[in-house]
Amino acid sequence: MTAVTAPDAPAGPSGSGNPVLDRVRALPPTMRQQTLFGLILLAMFVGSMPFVAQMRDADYLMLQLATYSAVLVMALGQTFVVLQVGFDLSTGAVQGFTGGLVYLLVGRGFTDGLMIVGCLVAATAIGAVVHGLLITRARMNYFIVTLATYTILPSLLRVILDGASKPVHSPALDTLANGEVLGIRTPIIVAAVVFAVLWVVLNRTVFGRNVYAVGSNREAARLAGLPVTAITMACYGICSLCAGIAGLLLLGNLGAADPSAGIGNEFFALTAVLLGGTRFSGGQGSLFGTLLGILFLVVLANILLLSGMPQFWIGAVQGVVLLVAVGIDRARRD
Amino acid sequence: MDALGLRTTPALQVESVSRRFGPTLALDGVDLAFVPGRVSAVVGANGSGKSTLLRILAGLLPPTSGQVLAFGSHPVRSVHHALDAGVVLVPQEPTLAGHLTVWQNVSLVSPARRSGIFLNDRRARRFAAEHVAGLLPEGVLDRPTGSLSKSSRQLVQLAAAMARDPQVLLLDEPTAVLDEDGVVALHALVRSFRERGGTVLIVSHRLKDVLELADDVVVLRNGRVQLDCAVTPQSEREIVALLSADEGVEREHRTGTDAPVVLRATGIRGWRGLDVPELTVRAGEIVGIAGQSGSGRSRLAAALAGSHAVEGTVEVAGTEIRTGSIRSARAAGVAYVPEDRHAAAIMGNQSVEANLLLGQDDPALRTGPFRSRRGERRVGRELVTSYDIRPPLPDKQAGLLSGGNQQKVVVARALAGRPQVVVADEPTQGVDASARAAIHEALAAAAAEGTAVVAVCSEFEEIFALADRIVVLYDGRVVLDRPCAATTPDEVLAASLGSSASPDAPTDQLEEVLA
Repeated sequence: MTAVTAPDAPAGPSGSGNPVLDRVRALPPTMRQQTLFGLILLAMFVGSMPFVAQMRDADYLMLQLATYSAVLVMALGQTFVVLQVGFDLSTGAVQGFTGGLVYLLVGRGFTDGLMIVGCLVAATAIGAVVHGLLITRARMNYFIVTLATYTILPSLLRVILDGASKPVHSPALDTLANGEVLGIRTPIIVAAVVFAVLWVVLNRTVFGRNVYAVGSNREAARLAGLPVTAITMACYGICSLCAGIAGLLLLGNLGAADPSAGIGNEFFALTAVLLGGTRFSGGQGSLFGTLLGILFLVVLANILLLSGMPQFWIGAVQGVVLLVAVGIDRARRD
Repeated sequence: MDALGLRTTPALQVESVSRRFGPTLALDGVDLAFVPGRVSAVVGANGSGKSTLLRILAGLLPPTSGQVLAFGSHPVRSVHHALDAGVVLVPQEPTLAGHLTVWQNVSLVSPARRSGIFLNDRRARRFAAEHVAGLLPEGVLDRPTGSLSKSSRQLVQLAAAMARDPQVLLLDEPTAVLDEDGVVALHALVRSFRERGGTVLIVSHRLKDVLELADDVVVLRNGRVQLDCAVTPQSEREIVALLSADEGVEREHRTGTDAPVVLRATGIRGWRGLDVPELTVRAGEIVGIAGQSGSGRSRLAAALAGSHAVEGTVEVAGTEIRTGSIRSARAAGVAYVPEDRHAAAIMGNQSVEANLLLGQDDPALRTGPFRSRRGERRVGRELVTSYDIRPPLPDKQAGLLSGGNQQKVVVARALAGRPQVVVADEPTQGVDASARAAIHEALAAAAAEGTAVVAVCSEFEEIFALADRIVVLYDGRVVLDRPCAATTPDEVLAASLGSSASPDAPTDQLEEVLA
């Protein structure tokens, strides 16, 4: 059974935006919203092509995609946490911290594979064990728990790096971040693989269904016998794992472990998650929406920058766009 | 009549009000007038539009077309308009500040709470005490509202509404969570408010309440006014005929079976004074748990279902379950229908299908860790059909269903796995007659197949309609355990109030307690 390509995916990629109105009407609301969002994105992109030369330049676009692959991966992980109700403030910190781990491990006789696996296991443990246990078992608020890691990890990173950016030479990570396979930059491939794997996990496994259930009504899920603690721990684990992968991409890209790496990316990723229709109240949203959210932010920023808007304004525009999008969503629901 | 103006001007005038929710027309050109000094009841099945009407009257929801006029001149377009005109809603689910005390909640918006810009707690407390009098004992004034029982919280809500000095009182299912004392207090309050010229509007499923209290009745069906008349013995018959077409038939009580004991709880203790030395339920038996709110009926249910840890043992068909572990209870074959549908059972933003399948471990639903979409669709459709969930659309968002259909979803979920034991806490709270009948039927059918059913019900009549045996709790202890055929509602009521009187003369005692 090729279940992955079944046409009735509740939140999967829609049929590439068929504009026939009747077909759009027949779609479930989430998919309709995403189709609309996708069309707006496409219109922005195509509409800017005649005016902005770079938007017609395939190499430039691919470079942009590769640059934002790391933050896309983080946003995909964050989607799991938001879906089950929560938010991981620390993804940027984990991303930077992973660089510190690489710095510690590289050149100490570990093979590249072992080093990568080690870093990712450590990152996952931060989410699944530290965040997961403190939030579920110790019943601490997710905001407080991840705020703590958000301040602890960058501090530890400075200790590890002695406060300065340290060059790291790792051919494996260099290839991962800057290589090309069949003419496609490897970060894009990494992001695509992560997307595919997480999409299957969220939409095609019993675990994925349970993530939505826990996010929609945690008590109902508990009383129906779902392992709610394990599900929450797994979601934070997935989120930190993704931040770890993003950390490897970032380190490979910079060629150095930097004490301030990653900070700020968590909010960019969260903006994309929310723009993509995933609700803070949990149980509603999709990875496809998050992908669209990132693409939208990237296209918007490029259009504005390339048409001469000073860079300082980009954040303001993105914030306003977020408010408008969520406001429209809110108004349509009432 | 001297107050001619008052007589001729309705307190609330509904002028061709329609309300549309997406494709659904919830109200369709409704014209109504509610006159001061009368109690009107709005009745109808779930989905008939009565909640929508009430929310429009309270200014919570704007009508799609038409308008509502308060006292002839003030259009009600928002909550502020409604409150300014003295129209106060008492919602079904209490909306109180749980951390604040009862008196703080009651005096929350009253000018009595302050002198100038400073709070005047003493005066506010005195003010609150006046309004709580007759509804709740004075001792509760200083308790945090969140620590009270659901029934008491509802009465606090009522006191808070009265503290706004309303002209029109809108009551949404006021008796749904009230215990028997609370119902008596509510009736007294409504009657005295009416005598003072107040207008009362009650939305209720309970026909009995309505006919006892109301002067006028409005029957809604599919968003239209079906009947709008005064309550007289003739109209009473008509109303009953209109509403009770789907009323369930009383089940034959089974007594003295020798079926094996499926559920055996021994030495259940702890958790605010719960103390049940032994409770057994046989295969195919329906045991109704009765008691006033706070008697421990819901705590006992939660303990049996594994939702809360207690001392003692719970065995299902000889297998001991870990108390406080839902998963251990589920593994032993216990299904639980929790009391609070919104907080603990329905996933409002998920599909009906997802709600039905929540926690099911039917092998047809999965292949290893992967979902079987085909199996899910098939099982979802089957459950929607066999439990008559309306509309029969598995993809519909569950929060958009009427309360009765949501509850059917919850019951279907619990029964779908063919459990050995079902623990249902208030399985028909806040649902209309036809959904109630369907839920009773489903529980009886499960029992007929050998499931042991434990049902907590706050309405004693319901237990007599549903159960084979009745267990009454008072203060955490079992005070009565008899087959339904061997007891009477009066005896049950007396026992639930802690009366130690002989069952021969319970009614005298009763009147004393209720007085």
